[in-house]
Amino acid sequence: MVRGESLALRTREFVQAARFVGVSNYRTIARHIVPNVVGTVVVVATFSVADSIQLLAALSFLGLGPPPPAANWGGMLTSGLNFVYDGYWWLTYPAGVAIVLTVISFNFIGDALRDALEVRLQDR
Amino acid sequence: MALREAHTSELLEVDGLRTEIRMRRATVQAVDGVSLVIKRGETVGLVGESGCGKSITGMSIMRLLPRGGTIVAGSVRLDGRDITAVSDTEMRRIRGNEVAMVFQDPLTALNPTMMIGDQIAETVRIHLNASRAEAREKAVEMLDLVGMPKPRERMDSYSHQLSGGLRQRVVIAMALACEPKVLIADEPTTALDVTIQAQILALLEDLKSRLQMGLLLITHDLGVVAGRADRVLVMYAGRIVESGDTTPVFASMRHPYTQALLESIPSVDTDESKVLYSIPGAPPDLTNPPESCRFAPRCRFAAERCHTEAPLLTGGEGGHDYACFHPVAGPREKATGAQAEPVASRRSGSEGPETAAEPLLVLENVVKEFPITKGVLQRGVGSVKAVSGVSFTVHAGQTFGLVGESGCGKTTLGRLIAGMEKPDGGRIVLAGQEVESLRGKELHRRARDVQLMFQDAYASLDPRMRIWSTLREPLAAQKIGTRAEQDARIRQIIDEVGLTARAMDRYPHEFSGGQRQRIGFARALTVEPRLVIADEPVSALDVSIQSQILNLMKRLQGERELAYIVISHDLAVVRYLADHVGVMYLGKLVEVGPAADVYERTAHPYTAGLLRAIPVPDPVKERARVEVGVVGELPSAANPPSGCRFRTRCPRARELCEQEEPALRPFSSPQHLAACHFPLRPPAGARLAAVPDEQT
Repeated sequence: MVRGESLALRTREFVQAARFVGVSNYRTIARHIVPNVVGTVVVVATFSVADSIQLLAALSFLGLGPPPPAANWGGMLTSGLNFVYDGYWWLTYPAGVAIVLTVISFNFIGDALRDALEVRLQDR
Repeated sequence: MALREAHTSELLEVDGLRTEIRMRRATVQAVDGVSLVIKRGETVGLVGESGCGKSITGMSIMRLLPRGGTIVAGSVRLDGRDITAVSDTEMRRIRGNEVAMVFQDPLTALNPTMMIGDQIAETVRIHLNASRAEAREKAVEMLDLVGMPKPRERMDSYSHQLSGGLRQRVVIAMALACEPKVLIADEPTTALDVTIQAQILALLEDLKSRLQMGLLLITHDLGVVAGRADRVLVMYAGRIVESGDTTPVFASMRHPYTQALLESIPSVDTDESKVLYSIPGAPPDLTNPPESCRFAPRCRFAAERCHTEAPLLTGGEGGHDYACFHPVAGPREKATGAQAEPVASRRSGSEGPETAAEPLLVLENVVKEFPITKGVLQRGVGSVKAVSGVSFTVHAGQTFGLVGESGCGKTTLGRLIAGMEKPDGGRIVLAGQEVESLRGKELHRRARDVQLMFQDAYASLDPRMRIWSTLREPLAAQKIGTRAEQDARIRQIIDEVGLTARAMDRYPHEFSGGQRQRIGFARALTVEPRLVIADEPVSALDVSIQSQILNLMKRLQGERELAYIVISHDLAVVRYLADHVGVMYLGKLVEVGPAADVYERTAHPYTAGLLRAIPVPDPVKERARVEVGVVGELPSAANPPSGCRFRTRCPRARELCEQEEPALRPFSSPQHLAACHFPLRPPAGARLAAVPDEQT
């Protein structure tokens, strides 16, 4: 992804303009490409953390997660589900709520990072 | 169908339309009390700078407002029926059937994954409940109507396979498919070349009178409106400031804004030694429009009353209305500059005998071809001949203008001179050094001599870098001076291009288009180059801003002995800036010479065609125009026509043109060269080759 983004940036006019005035390759990368790529990468990374958590939970819910001694929310959901009709209906809640909260908060972090890193949105 | 059959000839009546766009923090009063009437078979032009609300007016009529946009007051009556009140379902039926719209950018208006025939047919099927076969038949008919060559075969093309002009024809065909009564054309030709623009405008005009439609032509280009519109409305900051029949509005306008707009346009016969008028300042913020006359802060006639009270749009004689307390009486005699600002004095040696000094830049037979590759293995299957054998020279302190349609190779040529591409043949000699032979250090230093000015200044500025750093970068890269010296130089340049030093620790997005172009220009000047290559420096700007940049370029040229290469499709801009002009067609220079010779003693039919295609903001001249300039489309540069490349579109083409390629030969002066077998005037020292049937 970093590569793709960098390749796209390389053809952008401001990069060309910099190279044209004789800015060295190294400097161009450091001054123009990296700062412009970093923002996107950090944001995407945060979102993918949220995605991974969700995916892991979904897999373990289906019994494909880490084996029993290791604790995980997906597994807790499954085992909680077994007790739903035994009067312990609330057993699924702690794990479920935890998953939702974690994923949402990571998304919020991503959103906030994007706002913070995007110069265009900064009010001066 | 219509509830009340047209009892009047008024097709569309907009009365006191007010549209607001609600945004997160503020409400933009985009359109504030606009009234207009379009009669059957009439063209009404709506002109104004960008952001004045003209597009929003068009969208309000269609009820296709962007999110947050609402019509807060006023009515839009179509054939006597108020369509601001009808239901959304009903409105969907009206759109397309009764009112249709043509957008500026034909590429985004078409679905790239659908064949154009199906797209037109879809409109017909939805609106007229036609069967599939009928709809296709209708689509072919429409394509034929809009002048699409071989319509039946074109039905199965995708939009990316068509050129810009043909795409716009498809968009028009779609809009007309259900025979609307009113067609709203929002900047229909802004994205197109002058030659194609003339063709599309002629087409719209022709269709309008054949189908007896009403046409609302929204544009920023007064030239477009002058020849085509029956009536003109000039809009400023959400209000109509002047309206009336085209001829009186142009010949004896009353509003200072109209006058100023017209005055700031360079035209082919503007005296290029004069400063263009430019409207100072920027349009007001429409989130909180002033109570006073909205143009007052920028108006040269503004009096006290103008700053406290808003004038109403009131009648002059003959339906010519204007909103001004201190109306002017017609256009100012062009360039009788009340401005005391001294214009760059003509450089000595720019005209008359060439100075003995060595030319700054020499191009000899420069060739550039881009290979076309196919398949996974990137097999070469041919090449696009972007530049084939171009030669010219530029002297220090002079301006060389490069004109031609898009795709003629003028930008590639600019990149070659800048050294961003390597030529495949020929020589480029800059200040006595062959550009290609430069290596390492010298190549690095070359950037001090040549600088670039980009068309899209925004894209050429790093969005994450403050202007100050952007301007310092070239100096740092070239290791010129100490930090303090660099600062001093930047400060001086900022001042010269008319920006304040305070603005310099902002980011590019905080500036307006004109300011960004100034920054781009400032960056080019930091290293004190001898040659600046300006690729379409003003084509993205409003006319009032455009004249500011042109004046600036001209002034600094005089002060700094700069040479420019101005690449533009706008012949008027080139005429205003350039001493020498080269006209390019499909990678070749077809005519080159001193600007006055090329424009006034034109030899090549292509140059003549281009000149004829420029819309002039003068209704009398525009109406008198008979032909559209150059017909047809630019052929593919991958497979250029044999012999003379222009022959496929040339009215004077004979057999000879097909067999033999014409060479450049001198015409009215030794430096005025053109490549044509049957030129429009006799070449120097020879009689005009016999052209059988002389065209008009």
